[in-house]
Amino acid sequence: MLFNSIHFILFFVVVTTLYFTLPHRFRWFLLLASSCYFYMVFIPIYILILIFTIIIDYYAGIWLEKTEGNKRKYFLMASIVANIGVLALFKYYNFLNNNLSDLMNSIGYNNIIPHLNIILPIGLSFHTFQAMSYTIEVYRGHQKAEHNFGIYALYVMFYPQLVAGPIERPYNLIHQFYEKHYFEYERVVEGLKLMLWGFFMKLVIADRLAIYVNAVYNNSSQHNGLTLLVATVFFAFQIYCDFAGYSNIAIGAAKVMGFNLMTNFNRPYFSGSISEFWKRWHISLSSWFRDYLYISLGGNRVSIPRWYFNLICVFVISGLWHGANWTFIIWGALNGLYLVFAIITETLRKKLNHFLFIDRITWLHTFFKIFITFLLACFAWVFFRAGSLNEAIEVLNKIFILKGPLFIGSPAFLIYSLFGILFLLMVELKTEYLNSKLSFFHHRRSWVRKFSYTFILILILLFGVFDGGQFIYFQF
Amino acid sequence: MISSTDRCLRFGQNAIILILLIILTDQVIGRIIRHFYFTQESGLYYRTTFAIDSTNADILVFGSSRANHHYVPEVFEDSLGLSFYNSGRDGNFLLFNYAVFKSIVRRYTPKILLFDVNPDELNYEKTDYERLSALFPYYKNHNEIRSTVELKSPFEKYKLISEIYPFNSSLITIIIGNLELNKSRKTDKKGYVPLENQIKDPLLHKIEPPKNSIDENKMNAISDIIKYCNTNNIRLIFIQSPMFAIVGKTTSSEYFEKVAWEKKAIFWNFINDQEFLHNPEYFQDQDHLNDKGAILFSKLVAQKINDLQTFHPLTLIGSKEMETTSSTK
Repeated sequence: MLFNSIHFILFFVVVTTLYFTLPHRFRWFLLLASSCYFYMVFIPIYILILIFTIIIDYYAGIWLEKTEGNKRKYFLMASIVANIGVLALFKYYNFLNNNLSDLMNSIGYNNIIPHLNIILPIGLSFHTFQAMSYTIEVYRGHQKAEHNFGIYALYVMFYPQLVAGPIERPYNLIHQFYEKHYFEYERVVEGLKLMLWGFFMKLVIADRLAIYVNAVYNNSSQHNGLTLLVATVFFAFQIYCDFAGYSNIAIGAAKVMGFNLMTNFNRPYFSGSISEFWKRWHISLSSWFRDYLYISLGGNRVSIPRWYFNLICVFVISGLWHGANWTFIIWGALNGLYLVFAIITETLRKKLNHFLFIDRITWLHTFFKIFITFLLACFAWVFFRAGSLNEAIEVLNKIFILKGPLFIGSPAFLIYSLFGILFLLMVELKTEYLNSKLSFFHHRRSWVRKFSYTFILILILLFGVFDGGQFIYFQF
Repeated sequence: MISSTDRCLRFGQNAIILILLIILTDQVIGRIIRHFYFTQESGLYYRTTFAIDSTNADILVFGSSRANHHYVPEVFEDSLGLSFYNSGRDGNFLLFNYAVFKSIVRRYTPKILLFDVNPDELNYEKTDYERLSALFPYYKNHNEIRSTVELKSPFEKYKLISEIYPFNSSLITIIIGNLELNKSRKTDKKGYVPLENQIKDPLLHKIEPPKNSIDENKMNAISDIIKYCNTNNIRLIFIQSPMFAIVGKTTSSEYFEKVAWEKKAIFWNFINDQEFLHNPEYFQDQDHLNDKGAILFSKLVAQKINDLQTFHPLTLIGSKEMETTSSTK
């Protein structure tokens, strides 16, 4: 079920009303049943995959808790192999097979391994990672095994974050299913505000920008450098508003019912470095990789070359997590290389800033850092958005030449897009630097708050794209 | 300590106030936009409004951009001595045109209707339904188009309770339409908007239109149109206008040939007409004739209508009159 549909609004109202009406002991069942329905609206049969991994991880958790010594490792491995196995089959099998075919063809052989005609289950990477975080935490002894099968299933399937995160941790979420949540006015309103802002980000900004971005990138060979540059900058905002919009709706919907999900985005385009960018972008995923992969590889407590290797390795895998395509791998590798480059050149950059007096004007220094970080992020987004490596390289070649007039398409739509970006930047600028001074959604006067909700809703009605379709991150 | 019931009551009170505020704002802003939507005197929206509410031309053409840019009113009026209006609209296809047709025939009975159809006109396309949103501004005052608009989604009739929603994404265009900032919008000639450029790539390509499933709603619309025209003695002609491409046989064109035979309509297929295929200077791009090409094409169609009127006057519509012409040689 798509968040940006009337179907979801009705579903949300019904489930939330029932949630607060039902006695506490039945609520987990309501949430589980509604989460199953939510997922089955996409492709019903794929719920069997979820049930399969839920059963394996549920028993793995219990056995991990009961067992001691080396056997625990085997149970953890079994759980990880099952999860990664499902992911590998549905997401990476054809990618690996195609690459094998290319390799074999290049040396004159035919690949006889068949191609599978399967559709990737929606949000597979998200709930697989969430399930893995449970067994790893139980293995590490940070989390007790969950003995109530229904609650464990709900941990994996909780509908607000089932298909695109935030990727939760068991110690943050599971205990919340046991707590009794009352109808708290402030919390409910806070959740609804987040949802409203999420809808604005998705419908008014992301889906509007998508019209231009798709028109250009789906036919990139026909467009010039200036157009591709504008489309790439638009894509940077599109993907942010698409995913952060989804996260806001998810966190808001959960909050209305009394659940606190982790923050997933924290104004990433105000980051002064790529390292900071990854602390503000898709926080639930980057912290997952930090907690379960980067630290396991030794983190930065190893030799310097090994540290660099760890960084690049984590980001390459993060790229692969996003999609089975070389473009995603390059996107990940680029981000890893940015980080390594930043570490290597840190002293030199400080000296250069000092020499050029940039660091003495604080606002200029901050702006400069934010601008450079944004440019680097955009450079990497080209690989994320392009359909193939060749296309990405062609796009970058053209961008560096910057020749030709700008493709306008519909002038009105271009104006709406620019308005959306400007509005977002104003709101985020305010939140980043003037939080307490200007807050319409949290104004002390009730009428100001009500007018600001109405204003946003009217903007959605006026400028929202209602046929925009699904969220980009669902495909992961 | 505030009880849960009190908290719910407080929430309910505030929610009601907010909902009333939203309804009030929506109604006020929506009505203002509605007013200015219908006071436009140029542009795409104006032309559709004129077609639905005002035209009383003897000959009407319906269709997408290919209709809008291919049929020159002046040529038809000079050749046939009948008034003509081009109600083709960029990016809108059969279902949209069916709704406009229903609105028009509710007001008066035109003499000749030309339906320009694309090679894949009857294929199921999700975007064709999305583009029915172009009819939203007329939903409130035109009962006859409601069933077509509601094909977009079962929730559309509820969404259209909002006064602003019908004008979603239209604000700037409406402002420009009233300020007349964009002078180029004035260039339509009885609905027809000429294209002035020449095709950049004069190489003929072969096109195999996608084999999507045929859309039942579209077939029903065609049946309805044919039935209405037969009952009301309106000359109905389906036309596939030229493209600068060699287009393979499509399910849609086969259907139109079949339906023309069975239901006593007329279908003229110019899609692969040699005169146009050999002359790229008649085209602006692969899909669209430029003004020069449109004038030539309009003369051809007008001549064929003249012949039809001479040899098969309208009152004699019957099986003998069925004609399917393929200009492919």
